[in-house]
Amino acid sequence: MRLFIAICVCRMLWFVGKLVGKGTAKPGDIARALCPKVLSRLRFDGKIICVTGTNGKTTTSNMITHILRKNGFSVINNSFGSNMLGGVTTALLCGCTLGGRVKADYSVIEIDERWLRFLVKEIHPDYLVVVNLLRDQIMRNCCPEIVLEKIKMGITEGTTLVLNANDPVSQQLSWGRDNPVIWFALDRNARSTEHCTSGTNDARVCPKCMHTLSYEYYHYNHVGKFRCENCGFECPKPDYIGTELDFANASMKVNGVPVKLTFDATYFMFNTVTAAAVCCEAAGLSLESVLSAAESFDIGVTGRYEEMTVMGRKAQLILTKQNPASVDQSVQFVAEKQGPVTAVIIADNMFHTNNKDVLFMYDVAYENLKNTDCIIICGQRRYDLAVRMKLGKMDMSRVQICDAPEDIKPCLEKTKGDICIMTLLHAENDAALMRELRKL
Amino acid sequence: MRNIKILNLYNEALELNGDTMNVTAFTNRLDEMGYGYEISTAGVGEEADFSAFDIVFVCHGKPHNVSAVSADFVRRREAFIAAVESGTPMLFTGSANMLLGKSFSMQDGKTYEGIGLFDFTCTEFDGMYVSDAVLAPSFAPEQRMFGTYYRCEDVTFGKDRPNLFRVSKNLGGTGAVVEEEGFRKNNLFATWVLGPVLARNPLMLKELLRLVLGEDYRETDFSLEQRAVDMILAEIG
Repeated sequence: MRLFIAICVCRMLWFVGKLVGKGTAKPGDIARALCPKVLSRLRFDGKIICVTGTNGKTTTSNMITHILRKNGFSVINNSFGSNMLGGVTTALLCGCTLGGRVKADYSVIEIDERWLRFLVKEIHPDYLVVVNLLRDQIMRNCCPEIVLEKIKMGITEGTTLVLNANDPVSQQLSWGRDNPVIWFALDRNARSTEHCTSGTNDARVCPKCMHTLSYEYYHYNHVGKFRCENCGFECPKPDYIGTELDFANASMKVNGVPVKLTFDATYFMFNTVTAAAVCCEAAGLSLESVLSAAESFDIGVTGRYEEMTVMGRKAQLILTKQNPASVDQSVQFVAEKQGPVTAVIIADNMFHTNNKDVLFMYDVAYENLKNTDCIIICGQRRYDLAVRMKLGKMDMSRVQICDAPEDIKPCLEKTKGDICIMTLLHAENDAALMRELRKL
Repeated sequence: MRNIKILNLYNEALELNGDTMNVTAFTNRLDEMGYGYEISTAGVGEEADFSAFDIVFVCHGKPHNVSAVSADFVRRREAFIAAVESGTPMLFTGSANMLLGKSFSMQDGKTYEGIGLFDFTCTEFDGMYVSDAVLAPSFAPEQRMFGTYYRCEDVTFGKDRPNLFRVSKNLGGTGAVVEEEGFRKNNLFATWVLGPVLARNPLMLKELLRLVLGEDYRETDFSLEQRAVDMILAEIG
């Protein structure tokens, strides 16, 4: 009876929340209060796929869902809501029968790295995908090693791990366990570098023996092809690998099968290989049918990339997470654009941690923007960002600091070419500044 | 032209949250003043003669990495303490502090020896102290700095009490309220404030530059950096 009431209340609250545009975690939280460990009472007809890690879990879980649906499977996911227990609960209770039966062929659950260990007390994932482990918001996640330990607590017996062979940090999740592991990777490509060009590298030393870790190439941050000459720790042989990456045409091959994508970023290609690995293994689909479905996946659905017009000019809005790797990817995206470009960077306080600090800015390689025609900085932490740019010996005559939203327009009028607006998810005042920009 | 010799000890193992920007902030100012510099690094098992350097940086690092370098640091105890006694400027940030105490215990149950320069011990716990803080440094008690703490260790002090900063305000996160923080011994500064403490606080950067350069110190323009930190301090109130 408790389960039935929890499901009804959750659905009702979710429906009301949807009408008023409120969050999706609360209905689940209330359902959990009414029926503790409510998820353990659900009966799953299909398989459970959990996706976690630092960057790319939303895109990857959405892509897995898209591919499976395109191939005729029914899928429940939490794409509309939070990736903590409340959000996951809302998604599953809204998708099950009133008796608590989840009829979907697959439940694809994006779960926050710190919350996995609690989720697995109630449900048993058939597959656990860890996209990568990178330096994240210090206020919540300290360092990748701490997150690694928390994820380890969430690995259950029998769960198949889907891990990034290019990531020496998350690779450690496979150590000392009998869980089956599927490895995915990207091959060297035109964007690979011999030296780390990102602001951070969290695997400069071997996690096994602490000697310097050698890299044949880097994709980004500490993700690449590595080997420790002292103890032999190295990239495992990938089961799924993206090769022949062609960024101009947004195409590559996965295990030799070609795929044309809707977006050309390196991380998006990584996400595609990851989703392909999961769908082939979990659903027994052929690579051809998986990649064919992946071709129609639009990254715009993640809401983190948007094309718009500002003052009659082409503009791209790039939302990043508040971690250095995510911002580095956006910086790289802007740096690689052809023709004149103006970058507008909104630098703000952390919203959800209530901290003034923005340490992550100092871990971003803003130096990669050195050829950008003009950089306009606004937001509450604009002077901190300017300090960071100065530390990187940027040409400060190209850096304009806007103290007020109305200063942005005159600054933009002096520039030309495309406009790239880089802003952070969940930052305090970004929404207000974005409203100003959209008016231009 | 003076050539300043900098040692960044355990630079590969200990580097988190923008700490390397302290070295960058320092060398950029040397550049501006027209001085040369040389950055040396040393990892576990590599030799470094502390007496040959004008300043030593040891940065915040992952707990696992701090424990992995501890035996090597203990091996250097005598030479290091001699350098501290002789007045070599040094900066320890964040978890690197654990190396300076008597010992630290990690969650895996293992205890690691520190060099015992200060009388304190640390115990890692499954949680964190996080806070922004406003700091009054002992070398300029009327002035204010901004810092961020992130500590996964409980610190138990013996006879030595923190003497580097008076914490005038903790805010945000899950900050444990503390009143004094950090150690200073001669020209060694050790603080749990992490990240780019020098890059963001002209006050402390100037202090270290003066200690290293002595009479050769020259004023440079810190207006941008000062404005950034003043804005944060003004928001905090």
